[in-house]
Amino acid sequence: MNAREVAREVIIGVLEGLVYMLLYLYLLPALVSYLGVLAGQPSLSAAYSYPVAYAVAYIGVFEALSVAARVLRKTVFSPIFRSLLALIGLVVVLYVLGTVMPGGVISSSYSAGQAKYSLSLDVYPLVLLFVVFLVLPGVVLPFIDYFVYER
Amino acid sequence: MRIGTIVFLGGVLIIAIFALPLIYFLYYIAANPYQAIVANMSSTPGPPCGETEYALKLTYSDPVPMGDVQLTATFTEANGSSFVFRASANVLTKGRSLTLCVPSGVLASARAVSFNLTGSIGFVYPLSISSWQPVGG
Repeated sequence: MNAREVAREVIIGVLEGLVYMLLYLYLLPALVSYLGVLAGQPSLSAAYSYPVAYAVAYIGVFEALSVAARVLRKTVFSPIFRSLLALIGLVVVLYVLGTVMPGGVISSSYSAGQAKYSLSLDVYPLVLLFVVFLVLPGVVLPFIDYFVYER
Repeated sequence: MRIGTIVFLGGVLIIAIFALPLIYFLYYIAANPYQAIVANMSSTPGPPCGETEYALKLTYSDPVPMGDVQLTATFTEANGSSFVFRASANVLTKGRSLTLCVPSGVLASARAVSFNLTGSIGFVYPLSISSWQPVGG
């Protein structure tokens, strides 16, 4: 791989990292937060309230892993880095879920006059679907991709 | 297109399909927090219940179906004793209702009633709705 190709892979890696970052750091947490908001949860902006140090660390890790996976595309390190991306994404989503709705349960209560209402909704099946259909393939498929296409 | 891309897009699609009923239900609940279950008590005893029983009809008004529904109504008297009535249904869709037959004696002496409805929204997400309200003077 010459310098021009490396530069090209780095640029694609940065863009891929941005996509992962948007998906795991903002879009999925925003969805979780939105579900909480709909049910009247007080935490409205968990998706955008990471401590600065965490946000910078997450962005750095996503970008670094993504660029490394692109640059080392022909090596066995590439699927390892891609799998790590998926696993770190899961950690981020679980962190936000734990912040917005501990235990994956949305709870809210209302009062109208003397009457009291409460609601409890378990959204963990959605997390399970996320793990089964996005995280698990994200961990396993880079290796299949590598062994099928690269070798 | 690589297998990874296809599986990723498929995964996003599946999650979106399963998330839709949840979002729709929560959106409806947020817009109408007291209207998912509407309780209606008949004004006179009689059908569909017995001659001395009032029909307590709980109508489900959420557009997302609920599966494996269990309803418990507890009438509490001033002295603390309570009467529990239960009803269940495999599926509740918008407009369908559960009916409990409450003896007029229980209704006359009750000071509070609480409802607990459990089920699974869209047959996937476990849900529990509870309410408590005073009855009579």
